[in-house]
Order: sequence, then C-alpha cells, then structure tokens
Amino acid sequence: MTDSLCDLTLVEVAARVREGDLSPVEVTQAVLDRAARLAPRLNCFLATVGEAALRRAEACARAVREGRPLGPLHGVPITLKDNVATAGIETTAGSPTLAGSVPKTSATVWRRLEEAGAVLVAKAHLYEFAYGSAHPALGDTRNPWNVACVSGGSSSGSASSVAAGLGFASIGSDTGGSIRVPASLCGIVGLKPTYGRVSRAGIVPLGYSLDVAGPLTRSVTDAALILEVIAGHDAADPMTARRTVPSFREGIEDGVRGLRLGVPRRQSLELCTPDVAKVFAESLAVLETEGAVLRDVTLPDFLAAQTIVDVLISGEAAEAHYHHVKNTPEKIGPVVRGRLERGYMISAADYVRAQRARRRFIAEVRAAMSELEALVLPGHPTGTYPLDVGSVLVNGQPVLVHPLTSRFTRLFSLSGDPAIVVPCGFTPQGMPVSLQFVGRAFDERTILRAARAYERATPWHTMRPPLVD
Amino acid sequence: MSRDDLCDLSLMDAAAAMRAGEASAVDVVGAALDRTERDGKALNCYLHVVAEAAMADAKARAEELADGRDRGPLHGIPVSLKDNVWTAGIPTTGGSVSRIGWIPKEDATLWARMKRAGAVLVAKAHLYEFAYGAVNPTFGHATNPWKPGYETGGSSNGSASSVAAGLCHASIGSDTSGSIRGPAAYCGLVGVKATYGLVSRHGVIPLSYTLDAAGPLTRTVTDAAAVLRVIAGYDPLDPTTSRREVPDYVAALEGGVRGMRIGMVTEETLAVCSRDARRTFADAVEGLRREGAVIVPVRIPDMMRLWGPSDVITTAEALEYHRDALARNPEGYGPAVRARLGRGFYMSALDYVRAQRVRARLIADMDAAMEGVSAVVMPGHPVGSHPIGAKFMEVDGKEVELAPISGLYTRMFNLTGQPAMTVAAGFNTTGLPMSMQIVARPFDEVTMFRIGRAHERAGGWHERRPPRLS
Repeated sequence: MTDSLCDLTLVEVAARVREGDLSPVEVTQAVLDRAARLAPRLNCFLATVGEAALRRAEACARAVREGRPLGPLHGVPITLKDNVATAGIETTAGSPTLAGSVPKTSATVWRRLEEAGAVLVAKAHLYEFAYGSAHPALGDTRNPWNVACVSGGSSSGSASSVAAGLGFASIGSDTGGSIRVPASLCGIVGLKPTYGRVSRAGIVPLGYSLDVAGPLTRSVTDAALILEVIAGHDAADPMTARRTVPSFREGIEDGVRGLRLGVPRRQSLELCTPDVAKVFAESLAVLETEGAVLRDVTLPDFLAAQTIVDVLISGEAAEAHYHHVKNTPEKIGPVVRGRLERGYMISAADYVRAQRARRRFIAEVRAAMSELEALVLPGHPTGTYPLDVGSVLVNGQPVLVHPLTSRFTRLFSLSGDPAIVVPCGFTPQGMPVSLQFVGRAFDERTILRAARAYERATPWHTMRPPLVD
Repeated sequence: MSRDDLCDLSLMDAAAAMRAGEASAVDVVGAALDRTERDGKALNCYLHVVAEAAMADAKARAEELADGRDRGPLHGIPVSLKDNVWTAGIPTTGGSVSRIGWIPKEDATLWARMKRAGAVLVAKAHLYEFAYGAVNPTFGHATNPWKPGYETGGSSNGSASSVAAGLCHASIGSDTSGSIRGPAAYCGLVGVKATYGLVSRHGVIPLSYTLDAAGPLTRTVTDAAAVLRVIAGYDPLDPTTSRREVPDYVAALEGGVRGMRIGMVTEETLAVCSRDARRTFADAVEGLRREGAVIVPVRIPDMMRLWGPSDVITTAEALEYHRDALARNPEGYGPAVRARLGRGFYMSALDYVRAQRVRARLIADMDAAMEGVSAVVMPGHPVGSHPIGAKFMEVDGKEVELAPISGLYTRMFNLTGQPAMTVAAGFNTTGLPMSMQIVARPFDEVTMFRIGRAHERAGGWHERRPPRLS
C-alpha cells in the first residue's frame, strides 16, 4: 500500500499533502524504502540523503498541521542530478575530481525548489561532468524497463529514478539532449526549457551557450509545475532572460484543436528505426484525431547540427574544466578526459565557425516555424539498447550509439528553443518510445499544452516498468 | 549662397533647400564633386570617386523631385560609403590591395535601402585595411580636416574625413570597437553605432560578426536619425537582424530631455581624460541639465579590462573569415593586419569562450548599472585627435601612450550591443574637436537621439565647420 504512493504523480502528491490527507513523512519514507530496494540495482543515485530528507519531511508535516503557508511543492520528495550544487551536501558532477566537495551555497534551481517546499531525497547519478559517459568507478546507470539496457544520459540517474518511482521529479541538465534522451529511453517526460529561462548558477557547467536545466517527471503537468518554480531571471546567471514567468499550468488542458504542428517527416523517418517510425506514425494519428493540423516541414540537417554542437561543447567544456584537466587529469575518466583534452586543440577560429553556422541553423528553424505553433518529431531514433553495445542498426546501417542517441535533440540545443519529450508507445521488445514537441523561444506553454493533449489521449504515461513490482 | 556653400549644409538643410527650390540635386551633388575634386586628394579620404554615375543619378533624382516624386530626406543627397560596403558594379576593396579589381555583383542591404531612398553615391571612402587597426601602406593615411597631419581616427577614417570636410553630407561606416564613433569624435561629427542587430550587415565585409555594427557619420543628430531610419530594420539576408519595428527617429528626436534621468560616469571612468576632455564634458553635461535633464552619477564597469576580451573576440572572428584568403595570398595583406590576424592562430576555443563569458557578465553588469537612468553619458574619447603616426602624446604635461586609450570608451558598447553615439562637444586648446558619447539601452535609439539633439540645442557645436583647406 505505502509503496504504491511512489507511483503517484507529483501534482497528486502535492495536492494530497496540502489537503492534509498524505503525510510528507509517509510519502518520503515510501520513496526511501523503494530506493533502498531498487536504487542499487539501477545504480541511479550517487548519494541518498535519507535522514535529512526525513527530518525535512517532519518539518513539512508540522507546517501542514500548524496551518502555515505552504509552497507549491510542499513535502514532495524529489532528486537532483549531482551537478546541481546543494549547500552542505556533497556535489560531485559524477567525477572523482570533485569527490568531497561540499558547496556552501545551493544552486539557484535547488534554492527555489527548496523554498517551494520540496524534499531532497538523493543526488542522482550522471555522466561525468555531464559529458558523454559515466566515470568507470561509478558504473553505468540501468534502465528500469530492462536493467541490461542503458538509461541514456547525461541525466541518467534522474531519468532512471523517476521512471522507477524513486522521487516525483528530478532536475537534469541538457546540453545536447541530456534531459530529453534519458527521459525518452526511460519512458518519462523530459523538458528542456528555452535557453535563458532557468538559471544555471550553481550547476557545474558543460557548454555555457547550450546548457539548460529542466525537469524530468512522470507527467506533463508535473513538469509544468516544476518549471513554474525554477524559471525566471537570476542575477547570478547573466544569460537568464528578464521575461516574466507565466503560469505554465494555465491552459495546459486546452487541447490541440487547430494547433499547427510542423512534422519533419522525411528527416525523421530516414534517421529512426522502423519500429520507432511505426509508433511515430500512430502518435501523429492521435494528434490529428485530437484536432491538430499537421504540416510537413524541412528543418536544417540534424546530423550537421550534431557536429556543430560537438565543436561548441568541446570548446566550452575545455574552458569550464580547464583547471581540472590541468591539475588533476588522472581523476577524470579516460573517455571524458579525452573529450576535454580534444577541446584544447580546437582553435578559436574553428569555434567561431561553428557559432556562425549555428546562426544560420537558427534562422532556418525560425523560418520553418514561421507559420507554425510548434514542431513534432521523435525524441529518440531507436529506444534503449544493451549496455555493452557500441553501435545499433538503423535501417540496416550500423550507427555508433553516441552520435545516434542525440540526433533528434541537438538541433534544438543549438536553436535554444524549448522542447519536451513524452512517452508514446513501445518497441516490440517492450522498450519505451518517445515523442518530442518543440516550441518557439519562450513559448513553453504551447508545447506543454500539446504534450498534455497527447498524454491525455493515450495510456503510455500510466505504464510502469516491470522492475517496480 | 555660393554653390560651394551647399556642401556645408547639413543633410536635412540640403534636403530642405531642394524642396524650397533653392538648389537641385544636380547643384548639391555637383558642389560635392567639385569640392572633392579640389580637396579630396589632400584629405586622402576617398579610394574611388564615382563622379559620372553620381551626376547621372543626381539628374534623375532632380527630375523625380521636380515631378513631385519625393523619396524622403535622402533624396538627391550625396553620400560616401566606407569601402567595405558592397556596391554593385563599383569596386569594393575593403581597404586591402588583395581586393583591388574586385567588383561586387550585389549591393549591401543598407546601400540598397539608401539608394531606394534616393541617396546618390559620390565615393567609396578610405578605411583601415579590412577595418582592422591600420591602413594598408599602399593607400596611405587620411587626414583630419580640422588640422592637416592629424589623425582622423579609424577605421572609418575616410568616412569621417569626407563628411567633416563637406565632401558629402553623410557616410556609412562600420564599428567593431569604435570605428564609427572614434573617427566621428576626432573629426567633430555625429557617429552612430546602433544596437547590435538593428542594421543589416549583409554585404558589409565583416571584421567580427558578434561585434560589428554599420551606421552613419553625419554633421548633425537629425541627419544621423534620418539615415538610420532608412538603413535600420530586419533583413532576411542577415540572420542577426531584429524583427522589431523601426521607430521614426526624426519625428521623435525633438522630444527633449526634461525630467529625463541621465547617468554621468564617475571619476573612475574619467581618470584618463585630459583637462580639455573633462572641461568640455562638464560643459556638455551642464547643457543637458539646462535642457531639463536630471543628471545622476552612474558607476559603470571597468573599461580598462575589456581590451583583452574585445581583442580575442575580434581576432578569432576575423581570422575565421580571412583564414583561407590569408593562406592563399599572405602578401595581399598589409603587415599590420597580417600580424594581427596571425595572432588568431595562437588563440584556442577556450580563450574565445572565456572572452565571451566575460562579455555575458559585462552585459548583466551594465544592465544593472543603468537601473534608474535612461542613458549614460561620458566623453567620446579621453584626449581626442593626435598627430598621424604618434604612439605617445603629451597631455597636460605628461607623456601618454595612445594605444591603451584608443577605443577605451567605445569597445564596451560593442561588447554589450547597446546603442552608442558620439557627438561634437567643443574643442581642445589646440582647436581639435572634443566629443561626448551617449549610450542607451538596447533598441532605445530614440532616447539616444533625443539626448543628442538636446545637447546640440544647448551647445551648438554641430554648426561649426573646419577651416577651408584651400
């Protein structure tokens, strides 16, 4: 009975806590119990903060009893990718380089979540410095739908844990797809807000011109609620926009009737497996039934966008981690170290060329969207694959998993536009497939509305991985 | 008024004279060409004069106006363009011998717009080679009409020299760290670097694409507003241009500054100024106060530390553009520019990213500094013009190195992208123009122009013309 609390949505938990018919202590304990059972198998957490979480849950319970004003996330257990600074709690970004590093101040996102009443239960596993692979000493995170398969990354632990019900939301970061890819592979919702919508202050940077923080949740409305709490200007992150933050839940149930959605059909089908293509076609049919107006569009080349993002991240990550590579290179895992060192060999002029190409791509995306409210395309080309494979067959061609996995996400990291993935079915092997909506800059509301309309019309978000039982 | 006197009218006065029937476009353009014939060589301000085509255009524009077809204030006005602006069928060298003989097939968007508005091109103006730090030795130096042998400043040296000497009524320059505002300040003109993204750079040979801005050099604020109104606005060929509506700057600029809160930079920023710069700046501020502005001290970020980031960004972006041509034809570049570009090979992505991150911080800091004021004013240059080729100059009895102060007051606003304008503001004791710079919030050119116009009303410096050369 108590264990099933873990499978509620965040919005449900928040409402029940507020109404006094669910104790923050009970729900936190349920999450901690399930985490004790499943987290080691999934390798999704780097640290669980059970005692502190329970103390905080008790304080939350008191506040409810005493009728004090409650924040929108009051008493709700959540997790944070371990590149998000938590005052007084070790924050490693998945690298032995930062082992033992305990921040004095919290990242702005966590400060805002904490002020809204959230209860931190764990720091989630991630690719080392959010850059391409887990540190070998920490091992890979597993996918709750099949523990022999990858969870995706770099927000690997965030996605795996939320899918398994170990927390009602997690904060991830997305530089080229690091929220959307693992959310896709684990069958949950992953939202990359517009670049500049959410402060990155206190989040270990990877690529400053691309990095965006956002929620991973089990429902679209959950993601909207989290975004309401974390969005908005922050003097500590000069790239945050001064725009006012709307209520992202308002109008979320308005449906897609008459909404013009662009579909990069040819480009999507060329780059995904037939199984994903089939699910994608069914998803489009659902959207049409709901009243959306689908229009074929051609977007800039997805694979070229990946190359540009590669150059940008290389240069920016080299700058961000200069001192780590210089002072303690041996503490960085070989894959990530190699990537970081490669960054030093990229010239300023190469980087500039990539940024200039980026401007062209942005202009082309804007032009393609000029008569549309949003785009819809697959979130991932294949769905998850076994941990030990280096390449996957796509339409008969072997493709290395690394470039493969971000081919539908990186263009929108380049453009900075908001994007959300939602589960939209399964492969014949029973692995989740996802649908991605992309909006115009700072128009998260439209993609939340579209994603919610799709979610409401389909059962996929209610499915739980078999591991949970 | 003799025909030559037409050259000394402001653009707007020349436009009015045409409509009053006092002069035709043929007279105005003819006068400009005559003066060019007389003084152009001594000033060395033009690389290429297009006299015949200009006269033909003038005739066509004059006939149009006589027929009642009025294209607006630029109709029939003789203008020059910095020679990094593409002109279809007319050589465009970028000030580099490597481009001699190259003829663009297409007009730059801004020139196409000016042409449509009736402007008549009389010449392609001299500039620093590729707008980058020094003239190509083959082309020599342009000179300052206020004092021959003195610097015009650069890189829009020919633009400034030609407008100040009355060889045309307006010129277009480009500004990466002060290349419009510096020469305008040295030559007693108005120089406008608009908000990044307001004016299309399509067809303007790039120096540094995240810093470059094209804009007018004119003798009055109203003239600059009229030119900017024509060239501003979204261009699908330049993806960095903004889709915002362009306001009618001319209509808005007489609005005055009564009650407007204007920030005046504090002593930290003024420390490098000459006594003349301080005096003329204080007078200009006093003038704004008389016009009704509320002057409040504003502490802006340290400008001295911006040379590094600005230089790294410019060098990397310039090398990205020139890399292939430089490899093919290194001798095509002058030694100074070649050396400057060459430094880019030793700059890593990391260096560039660091510079851009400093910039991101600067934008936020400047935004915070301007809270509560509509604009900030400061001197346009700490000392003003100096003898051509000088590396040091005696200022108030002290030897001052010029390199660190050249561009000091201007490059910040290329980094922040804010609109900034220099206006004439008196003279130093040797008779060279001094200036004030007005900086507003992004896309608030209206406020910048209103302050500039109020300053003109208070000081009247825009009425002054340099002594006739001959």
